[in-house]
Amino acid sequence: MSSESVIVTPGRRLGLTQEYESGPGTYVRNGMIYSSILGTKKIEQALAETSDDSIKRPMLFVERQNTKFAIPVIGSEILGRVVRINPRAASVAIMMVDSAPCQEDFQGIVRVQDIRATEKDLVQMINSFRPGDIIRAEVISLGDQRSYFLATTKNEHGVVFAQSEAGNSMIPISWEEMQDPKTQTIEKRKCAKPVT
Amino acid sequence: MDMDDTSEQQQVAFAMHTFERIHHTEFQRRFLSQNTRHDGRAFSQFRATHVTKGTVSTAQGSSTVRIGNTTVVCGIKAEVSEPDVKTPNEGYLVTNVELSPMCSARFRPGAPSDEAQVASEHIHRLFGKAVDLATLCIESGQAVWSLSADIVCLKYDGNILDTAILALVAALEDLRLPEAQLDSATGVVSADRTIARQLTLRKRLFPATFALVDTYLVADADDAEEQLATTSVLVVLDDSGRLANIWKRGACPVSNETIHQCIESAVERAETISKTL
Amino acid sequence: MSANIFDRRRVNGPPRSVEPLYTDEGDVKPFTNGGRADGRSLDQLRPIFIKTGPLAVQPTFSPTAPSGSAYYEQGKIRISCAVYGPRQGRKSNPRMGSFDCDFQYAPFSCSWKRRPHIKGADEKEIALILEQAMAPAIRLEAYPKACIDAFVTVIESDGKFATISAAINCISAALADAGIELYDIVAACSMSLNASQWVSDCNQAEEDVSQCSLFVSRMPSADEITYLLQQGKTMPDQTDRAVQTCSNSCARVYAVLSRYLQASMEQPAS
Repeated sequence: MSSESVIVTPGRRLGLTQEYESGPGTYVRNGMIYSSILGTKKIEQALAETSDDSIKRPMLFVERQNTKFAIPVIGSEILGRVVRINPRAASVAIMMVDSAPCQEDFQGIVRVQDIRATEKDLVQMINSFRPGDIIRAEVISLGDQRSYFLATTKNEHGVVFAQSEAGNSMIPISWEEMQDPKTQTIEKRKCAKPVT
Repeated sequence: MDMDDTSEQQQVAFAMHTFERIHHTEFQRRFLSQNTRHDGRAFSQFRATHVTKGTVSTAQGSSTVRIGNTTVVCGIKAEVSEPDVKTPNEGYLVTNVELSPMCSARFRPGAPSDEAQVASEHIHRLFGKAVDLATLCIESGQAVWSLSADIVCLKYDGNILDTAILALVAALEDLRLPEAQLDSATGVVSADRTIARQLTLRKRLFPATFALVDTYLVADADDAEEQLATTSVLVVLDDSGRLANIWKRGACPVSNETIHQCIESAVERAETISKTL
Repeated sequence: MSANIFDRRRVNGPPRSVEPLYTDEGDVKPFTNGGRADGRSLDQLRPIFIKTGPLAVQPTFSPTAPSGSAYYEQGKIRISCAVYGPRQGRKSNPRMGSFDCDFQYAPFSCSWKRRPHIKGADEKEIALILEQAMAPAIRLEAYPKACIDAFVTVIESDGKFATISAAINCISAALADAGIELYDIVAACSMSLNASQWVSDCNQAEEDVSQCSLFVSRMPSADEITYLLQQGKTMPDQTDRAVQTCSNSCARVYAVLSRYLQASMEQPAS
């Protein structure tokens, strides 16, 4: 690609903090930017327009082609499978974070007050999630010893895929209902708004 | 443009990764229903097999076998012990398969898993007749060779049995037993490594494992396919073309036709590997 | 006759077995007239070979495959390492991730008696050494609540300190291959004192006749030593000299590691 694609190993000096911003795959020590992963050194040019007076420096980052395994961070969007439900919380096995797969399923929980944004006290778990559902959620906190805390309050978060009691894949018909196309039965779920 | 292509490719790749991660079974079934497998092989195709002998110099016999990504090292250490009272002229060949958490996230640290125990026991019994244990005798009733064959799995991607059996055959062929003598006065066995003899294998064994995923019979299932397989069939042939072992395990019954198909494929496979070994 | 541990979960051999007395050892001395038996000079290291990543092309993502792996050879030493992570840890620290190391010798890896399957105290000690040598190099604050596990298996060992150094190099390569954020690659090298002379990278025969052995593991970019272990007695200035020379050897190992890692990236992506 560019003539400047140099492969760097961790610990290589890339540039000075005076001249560059440090991006992903790098760390700063004593005014020097070092690479932190094995990858290709890349420079992203500064944007022309800046709102503040400070001069925007080009960003130095190290990129790696192969899929990297992700861990959940606050604010990231996750895809997971509901493992267990009880009236207070649903246990979720987090499988993907921001479109990157996880090495092993992380444990998360969606508490009943984090399922919906409005009418939180009227939410019932059995009408929102069932075990086996695939949900899209956001990480709101690193949580306790065992699980991350997740929330499905946004419109585009909720159940993306579910099987009916008959075993068929259901189609969402509204934000709170899904229908089995073969048996025509309707089941209640907190559905995610489909992304067009 | 180049950039658009790669970003589009990346998007498609992500979508495929997502589908594979979330709906693992459905993902594999899509390939099988199209008469192919997720790595592009035909149903009856085995992965690339590499056998190297003599890879560990601290062992008296060793080999490294690789079938696709599944890699196994077999090392045979020869020690001296007293024979069993019931069989004063026979030595020992003890086989163990190690499936540690290193080779796959599937295995937990600690005691050997069920899979490892089953594999060890089966291979141990399979090779019980492969070596003439009387050739391991040093002094009848007093000293015999005890061969410990340890098969250590470095990377696990399905089909550990085939890999382990091939590794053991290769290691036994690589084995050089030193000439040993028992000094009856002191009871010490001394050995001279410069005069080493090869062990004659009664028969070489050529394994072939098949897995039944839904209704599809696939040869040499890798880890992803193994998880979906309901049944698997191991066919072991010896170098005279005779059947040494058939092992069908799993909850699903198979038809006679399927077994015949397995045996036929195993014969072809035996011909191919006998050239590699 | 030494007793073999009866393990009901494994196939067991005879209750007692012992190595025969080998009469062919001869008088081959590892050091003769200032020269080494294998023809190396006193500060020459054994040739290193590294292979990272899966051996066959991985067609699709596999959740049980390691994130990174490396196979390392240094002379006759052969070590394989697999890194899993970042994954959910048991220790769950919200500020930093944790790093765990597991070390084992294969039963046929040592030139003396076959090792039992059950881990001995020395394997546990070496696992701790490896953890302490590698942990300073990993950016654990980038992986809160997660844990990174490294598993090392020694296929063939040739010199205890040399094997530990090789294990450290192997884990470094595997961590880099896994894409784990590191401050630097850790390179390690060992030395032994024989007849008042420090000899680099000794094999088993040479270590057996030496009075003292040590190894140093180093992060060159920060010029920091992550681990230093000495076994045997010396004068303080002798150790000083050794650490200096060993650090230089580590720099050479580091160069080899970097070259192999860069070459692995240049290969067409699977």
